[in-house]
Amino acid sequence: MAVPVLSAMLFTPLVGALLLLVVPRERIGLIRWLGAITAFLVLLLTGYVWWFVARSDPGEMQLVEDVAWIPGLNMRYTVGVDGLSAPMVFLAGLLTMLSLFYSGFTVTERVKEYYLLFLLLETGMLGVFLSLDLILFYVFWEVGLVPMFLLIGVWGGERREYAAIKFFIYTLAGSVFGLLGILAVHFQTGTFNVLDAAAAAPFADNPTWATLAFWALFVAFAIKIPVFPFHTWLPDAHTEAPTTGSVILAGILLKLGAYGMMRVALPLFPERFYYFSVEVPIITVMALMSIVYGALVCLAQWDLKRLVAYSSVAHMGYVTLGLVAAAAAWHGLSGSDGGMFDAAAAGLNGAALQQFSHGIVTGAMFFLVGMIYQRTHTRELKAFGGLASVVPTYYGITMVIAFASLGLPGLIGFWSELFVFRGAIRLIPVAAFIGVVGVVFTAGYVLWKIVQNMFLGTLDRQRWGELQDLTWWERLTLWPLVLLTIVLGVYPAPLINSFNAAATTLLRALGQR
Amino acid sequence: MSSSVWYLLPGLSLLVSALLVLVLDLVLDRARSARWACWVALAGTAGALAATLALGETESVPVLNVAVFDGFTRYVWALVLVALAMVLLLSESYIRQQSGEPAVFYSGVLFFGFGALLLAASANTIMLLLTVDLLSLVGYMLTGYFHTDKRSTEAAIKYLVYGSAVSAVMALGLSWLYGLTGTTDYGLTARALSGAWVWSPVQAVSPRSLIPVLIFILAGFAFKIGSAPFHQWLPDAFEGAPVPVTAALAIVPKVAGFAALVRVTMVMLPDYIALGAIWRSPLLAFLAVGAMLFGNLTGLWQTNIKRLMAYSGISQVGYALIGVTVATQQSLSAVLVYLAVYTLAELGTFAVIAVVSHQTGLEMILDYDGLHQRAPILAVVLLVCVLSLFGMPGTAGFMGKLRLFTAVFEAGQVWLLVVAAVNSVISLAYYWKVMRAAFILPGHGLPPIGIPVASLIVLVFAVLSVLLLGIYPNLVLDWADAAVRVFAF
Repeated sequence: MAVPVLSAMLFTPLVGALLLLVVPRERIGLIRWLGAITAFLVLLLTGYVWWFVARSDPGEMQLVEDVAWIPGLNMRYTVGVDGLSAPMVFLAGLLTMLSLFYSGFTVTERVKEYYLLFLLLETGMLGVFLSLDLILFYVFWEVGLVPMFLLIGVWGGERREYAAIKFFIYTLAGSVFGLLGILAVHFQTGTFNVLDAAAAAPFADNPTWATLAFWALFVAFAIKIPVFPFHTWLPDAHTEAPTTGSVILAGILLKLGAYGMMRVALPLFPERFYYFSVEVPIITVMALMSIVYGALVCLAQWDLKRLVAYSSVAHMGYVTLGLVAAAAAWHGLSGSDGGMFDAAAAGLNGAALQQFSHGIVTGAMFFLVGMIYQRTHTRELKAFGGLASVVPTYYGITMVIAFASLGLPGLIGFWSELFVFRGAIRLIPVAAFIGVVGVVFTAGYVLWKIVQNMFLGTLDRQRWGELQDLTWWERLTLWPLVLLTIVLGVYPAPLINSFNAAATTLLRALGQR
Repeated sequence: MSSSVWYLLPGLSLLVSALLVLVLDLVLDRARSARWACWVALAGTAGALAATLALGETESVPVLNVAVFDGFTRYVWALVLVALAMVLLLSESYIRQQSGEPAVFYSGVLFFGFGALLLAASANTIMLLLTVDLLSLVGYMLTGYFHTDKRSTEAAIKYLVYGSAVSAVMALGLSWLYGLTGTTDYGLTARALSGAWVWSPVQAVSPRSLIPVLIFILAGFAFKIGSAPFHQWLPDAFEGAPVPVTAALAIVPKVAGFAALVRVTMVMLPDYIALGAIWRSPLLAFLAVGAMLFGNLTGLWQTNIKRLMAYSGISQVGYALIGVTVATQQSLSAVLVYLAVYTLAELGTFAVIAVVSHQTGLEMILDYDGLHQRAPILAVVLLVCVLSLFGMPGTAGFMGKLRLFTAVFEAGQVWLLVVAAVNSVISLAYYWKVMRAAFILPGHGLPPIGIPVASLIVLVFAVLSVLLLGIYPNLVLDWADAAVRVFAF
């Protein structure tokens, strides 16, 4: 057997965390270096994995490792990566690396625990993207929960305890029932392997059980994404979390929910997904509510961090809408009409692209929010104005990220919206039209709230006259994200090729059922 | 003397060391006796554990016709003895440095263990009643060990009054059963109840009229394992007893009581007789749901950590009871796994409570504020063990719950699963209080808490085994699977 690259990548952060355990807590410099080096090694590995997958066949599972784990419970240690997960794995590696680099200059309290938890969190996140065994998936899903809960609870803002426990209970409540859904699938198919289980079409002839199991899984993922009306934990958690916590939360953890939809809920229960998207359009309504309601709240929001948090609700709504579009094609996937298949693929690609681009853009956005908050100790948008002349670099970077957020062509956010709507307009035209309204609102709050309120207008010279522009390490944190926003905006082929291959495989498999 | 006497060896090891502790106390001066008692007791427990393991996998061996040694007994004995050894280590400095009679304490703990071993192995209703009472009697004594402390004495008296009443009720039920069937043997009772034994007068009685008998017996079990609605003694006893005793009360009677309950359910009240079906559902099912709901909902309001653990224990009993209710091979195996992971997590938690209580004398949850500053090791152990009690993946508790949920799902009792799942989420709300205090809140600049070496062993053992079993539980899963094969399904 070849080198177990995925396991090496998965457990490098864990090894780093164990090493940290023996470093005395006073040696802060050493702890920081150790954390950053570990994260950097992981980043290299994630980059290699994506490159490897892209070079071979991103439509198939690569680098699969499959070992018996707990025979008594029929659980296996099965990990693998394809075009759908590889970019996300890379994103997780990148954002963790940047977060730990940034933390090296900003975190001063309980440093050892902070790095330890962050590395643990990384293993949890990577594990979710890599797992092909449903229980393994679940284990990693929850393993990431505790560190994030503590990151919010210990290093968060004023109402951190409330936000932490709300986040914890919400996610757990969802995932406990998700576990019951997983057990139901295992009961029916006799396997925990997600690919085998999907191929076995669980509960195909039992709509009641299919509905129950589907909703159990759907709600678990929907809470994480979060889809309206399960989103109420998010504004609190994002707002109270420390900057890096928000970055990881918005950048990666929300994507775990989206990824779960694509890897588990949709492939296992495409017929139910279709049913509740088109025949009884609950999911469609939830997606549209997320988009429109999220954007409207942003328009009314004057707290910068809360605004960015709510924009996540809206943006993740596009992911759900893309999924809905893909599911809506369920009956046409194997038919003679190739257009149905292409539209479904576009929807699924759009969803995948959106989760990636939102990770980059919102990750950067939360970094930017954290940087300005650190200087001004306020997140009140009305307090700012005319900052463009004082902090030009900050202004420039924020503009790029903000425009990417509203989907300006040439930046990364454009492609995802394009694909989502290309799929949606063919398959769920009414929903597509409503969804476009959200795009308009997004432009509204990005331009009016962020750009105009913060950077244009008159400057309060007394308060902000001495504001310092970005330091070298802040720039270094942001540049990779800005570069990706622009490069992948101009040349999105590597991303689209990966996602498209995986989406095509997935939809083809669904069409054959 | 038949060869089955060999199977009394583990129990004898405990008895001999208990007597030795008492004799040493007569011979040696006080300080020396206090120092040696713990280690003698520990040696006796280790000997018992070694003997249990050395007895090996055997066929069922009846021991003097009142007990039975088989794979199931062996598993439970091993678990009880490990718990006992850890409790002894935990009490080492705690008992030595406080006023009282260490020899009485240690011999008491050993008698406690002895009673638990016999209870777990009993195969006869008289033996069942005797061992339940033996455990209770020693339990009262240990709870009131600090006889100068009002709380300790009060707890002991409450426990005594409650326990006597319940054990009288249980005795009533068991003697009623004897009067009907003419036998005290589990297996013969089952035959009599099923009508297969012609000598029995039971045929003349309809099964429904025997339901009170079942309820009386169940009351005894519910009291012993600490399940609602027979739990009222438990929070007070937990609060008043010395912490090592609380740890013992939280683990030993529950594990042994569950073993006895499983044997009664499988051997005396098998599901093919009408009474057996009633026993499983609605009676045991009712008990399970009641314990989960009551334990968790009441746990939400607790401010004392020992009381909190009492209610958490009640709800844990509820989860495990689901497995007994379902009573399939998978689910009983799951019960055994669950008891093991419960034991480990409780040991870790109580080790922390014992150290904190001993060093600071404080037992409220808010006294744990800033524990991460005062003793990082304690904070981490507490976090891991509490998460395990909750059932967080990565810890042993998850494997216990997963095994249980899988088995119950396969048996088709999904509604019990939903109740358990809802309860898991509720329980997070009070486990969170502990985690928050220990790990999140800042301390008040109080001095660090020192950890005695013996307690450190318990802490490390608990946290490592909880984490290890959370990742690789195969050993325990396989052992539990083998252990329940002794029953007919």
